[in-house]
Amino acid sequence: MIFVCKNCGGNVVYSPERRGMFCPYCDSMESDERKDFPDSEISVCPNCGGEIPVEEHTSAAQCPYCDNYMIFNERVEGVYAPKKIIPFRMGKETCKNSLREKFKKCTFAPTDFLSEAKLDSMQGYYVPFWFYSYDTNCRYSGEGTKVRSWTSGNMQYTETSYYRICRDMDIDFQDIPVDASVQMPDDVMDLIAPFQYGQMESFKPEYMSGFYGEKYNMTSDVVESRAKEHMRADAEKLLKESISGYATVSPGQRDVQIKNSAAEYGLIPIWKYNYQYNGQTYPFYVNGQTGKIVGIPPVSKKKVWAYTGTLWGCLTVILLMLRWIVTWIV
Amino acid sequence: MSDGIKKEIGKQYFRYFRIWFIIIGILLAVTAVLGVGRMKEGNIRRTNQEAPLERVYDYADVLTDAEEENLRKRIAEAERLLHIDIVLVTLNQPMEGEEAMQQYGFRSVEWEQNMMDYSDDFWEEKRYGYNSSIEGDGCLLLHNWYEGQSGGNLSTSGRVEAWFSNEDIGDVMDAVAKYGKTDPYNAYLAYVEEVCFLMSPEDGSGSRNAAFPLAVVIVLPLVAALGFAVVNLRQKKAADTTTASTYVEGGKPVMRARSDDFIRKSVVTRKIETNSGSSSGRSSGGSSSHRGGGGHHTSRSGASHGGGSRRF
Repeated sequence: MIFVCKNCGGNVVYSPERRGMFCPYCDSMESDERKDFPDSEISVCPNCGGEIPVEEHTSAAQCPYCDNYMIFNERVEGVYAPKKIIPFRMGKETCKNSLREKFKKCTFAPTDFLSEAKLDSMQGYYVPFWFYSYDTNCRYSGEGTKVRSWTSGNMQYTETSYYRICRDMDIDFQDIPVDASVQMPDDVMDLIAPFQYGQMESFKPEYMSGFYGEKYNMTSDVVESRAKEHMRADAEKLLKESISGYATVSPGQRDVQIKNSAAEYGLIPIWKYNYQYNGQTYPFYVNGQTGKIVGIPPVSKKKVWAYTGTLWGCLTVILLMLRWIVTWIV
Repeated sequence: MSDGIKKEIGKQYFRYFRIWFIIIGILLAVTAVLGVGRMKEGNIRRTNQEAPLERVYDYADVLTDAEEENLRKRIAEAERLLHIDIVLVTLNQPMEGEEAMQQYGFRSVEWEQNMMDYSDDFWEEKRYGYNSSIEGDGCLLLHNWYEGQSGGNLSTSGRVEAWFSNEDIGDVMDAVAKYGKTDPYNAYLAYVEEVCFLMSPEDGSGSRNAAFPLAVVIVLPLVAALGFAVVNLRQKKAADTTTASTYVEGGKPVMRARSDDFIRKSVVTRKIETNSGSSSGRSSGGSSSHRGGGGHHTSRSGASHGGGSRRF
């Protein structure tokens, strides 16, 4: 499907800044009209007939010839229909400024790393995620000690009191996100969280117009182990936080029972910027909702030597001159 | 690389280091001004005109005329560079005991005290001191050749008093004592050379009078530059901003049961050992590890001197 403008026929896209469908050709808002095309011709642009590079899991793409954005019906409907979506809240320009703000103090990054020309290649993606909810009951038992010491005369006394600690709590985990894309690195997707679920909406394909998208590559049962691992680690931390005031705590039994569980499929907005330097690709990911940035900038070895050497030289010259000046004055 | 990028690289570089370059520029200007001033004041004129021109008093008659003359020349050269008075006095008289005390009007029977008084009095009576009489800059070596009471006393004044530590005074005595009684001329040359070395404002590898050692100029920038590189190279992808309760409904768990039951208690006792030994105390007299003020004292007439004695 493609969203076209009723007024001028141009490709209407979702604008994060305007929070609605926007035609960049005639500046109209909410003038979109959905036009479907057969999925059998998924790799052919319905607008210009050009060939679109579509991968196995691509659910939304842009024609490299006429720049129209299209969404592939069969990859957003039926078993692949997302339940929910967080629409983009940050536009491209805002993301560029965020990247500049975060990395402007990176002394050793190559000079053109944050140039307009390079940043303009940034692209918005809807990444498929599974959201897991668990109603759990967590139980803990262990032993804790409290220590008190005092001095009387020439004797020191150390009193150790032993306690049996028991905790029984219900923890309801809601929407633990796990990415369902093979392309997106797991550690990055974990770091790009958290998301503001209050802005999560029911899925509408219009939100995808103007961006790239992917359907889930892995089913919920395949990636659920990551969610459970996350859940158990959080439960452990919460149990530990409920125990305080002890000098030492020796854990005994720990048990997390899952009473109910559920998994839902949704899409999360991510801006991706790839910077090529010395034959290597440095990817940067920006949370399209909160603006959190994940990525490590490249290091220019020439800059390392030049800046470090200059600092060393400046300090040496300054100290030498100060030494002369103070000696002569004193 | 395009010209635009090259220009941007240069701009970025100069913008980053502009404060450093400005500081270097200011220091260069100050160094230049001081350097010129120092060249002009290379010949600081003597302001004390009350002292005699003589510097070598060989009362013990251990030097030949030629040796005395050479010593005078060497002392004059050293004084021109260092701007201090350097005086030498040789003696051959008793300096300790009741008889000497009666005969010479000493205030003590002690050899060290009398040697010190003699040096201080000689300096003050002749009104030595490069920049002012009596408490001006300079030093006097008194060498007594009297059999059984031979030895030296170094009396310092002004800048020399401020600069010479007990260790430095010891070094001067070492230099003189090295020649013993066999070679007085070289002993006194050694005295002058040692004073020159100790008072020298500049040497090649590290001035003793410098504000801080040359090692600081080499090591500190290296450490700072390495630290700068390490800090700027240290990067991580992002901080984990989720907490244990990020995905918990309501923000916190619901506690169904909680108990902290006391089981038992144990008490351990320990006898505190007291330290019965007395604390060691070191006498603080003798060696001084700080610069300057070695052997500081006040003379009979109330002037401030430094110095020390040694029998050899």
